[in-house]
Amino acid sequence: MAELLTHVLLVYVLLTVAGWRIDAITDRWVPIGMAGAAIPDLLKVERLVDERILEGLLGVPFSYAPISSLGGVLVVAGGLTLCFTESRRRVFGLLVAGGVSSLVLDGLRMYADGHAGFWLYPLWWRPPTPNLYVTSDPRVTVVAVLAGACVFLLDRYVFGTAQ
Amino acid sequence: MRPSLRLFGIVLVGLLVLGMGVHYDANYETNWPYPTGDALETDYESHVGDRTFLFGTVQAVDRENATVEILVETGRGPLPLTVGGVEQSVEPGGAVQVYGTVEPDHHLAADRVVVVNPAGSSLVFKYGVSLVGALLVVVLFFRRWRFDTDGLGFEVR
Repeated sequence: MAELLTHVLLVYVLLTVAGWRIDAITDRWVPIGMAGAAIPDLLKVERLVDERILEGLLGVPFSYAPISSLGGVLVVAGGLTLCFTESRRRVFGLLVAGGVSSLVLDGLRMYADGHAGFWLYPLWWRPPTPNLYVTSDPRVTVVAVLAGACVFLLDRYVFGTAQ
Repeated sequence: MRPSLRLFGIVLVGLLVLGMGVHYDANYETNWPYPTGDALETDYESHVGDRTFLFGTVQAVDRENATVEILVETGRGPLPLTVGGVEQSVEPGGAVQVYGTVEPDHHLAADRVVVVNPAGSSLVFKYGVSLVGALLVVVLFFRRWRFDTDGLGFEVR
């Protein structure tokens, strides 16, 4: 997957720009979408609790991989939504939107056989990929940081609520 | 919604994640059209001539012969393979994807190689930048939201 900074900055840019037109998307909702963008990265929990430990407990083969898929985003977003005391429908929508944006971005990555990872699980196991970038390419991060900085400045001084 | 009901829902979500993980693993090989690292580790010779797609960590690079030595993670430990036809620049510690044909003596003839991490340091870059992303989300979130200890959940500040 692309690194987490690019994932969250993409959602920051999309939601902030959308907020210039849509009154319902205010500053408080942007971090919810950004948190949603981090859901596929929860796959990294495997560094803390190895899959083999869970396989031992469950008694059957297990993989964390679905967390970084459409099915995983929908389920985990549902769980996170239950941690909120208010506006749960909007929280869920933004968490899912953020998570899906990360999955779409990851679906554009390079795969040597021309098919992306299992990001559309359980609907489509390996859709094609346009092979646009590799995750370690710093140019992707630079573009994300520059876009985020531009939108932050435009939001602060031109379009944002401060005006 | 009562906190106990929400807690029940969260437990249910945890069980769903476990269920998906089991379903995914049980169906992985059916939906992966190539011999996996595990399959090669178990019975390499029976897959000679097959097309495969593997992910590996680079151990050594021979630029003269355009080959790299990689280790592929399998359930039984790392599987060493020699990949031929690698023109890209990559250092030991880097990570590659190899799409090619299984050849005898733990050799792969690569049709296409994608260098995912040019060197081991690429991983440090990815994790470092990701940590910045995680901190950004946490800071922005807690500027607008707080944990309500009475209602046991997040609410707007």
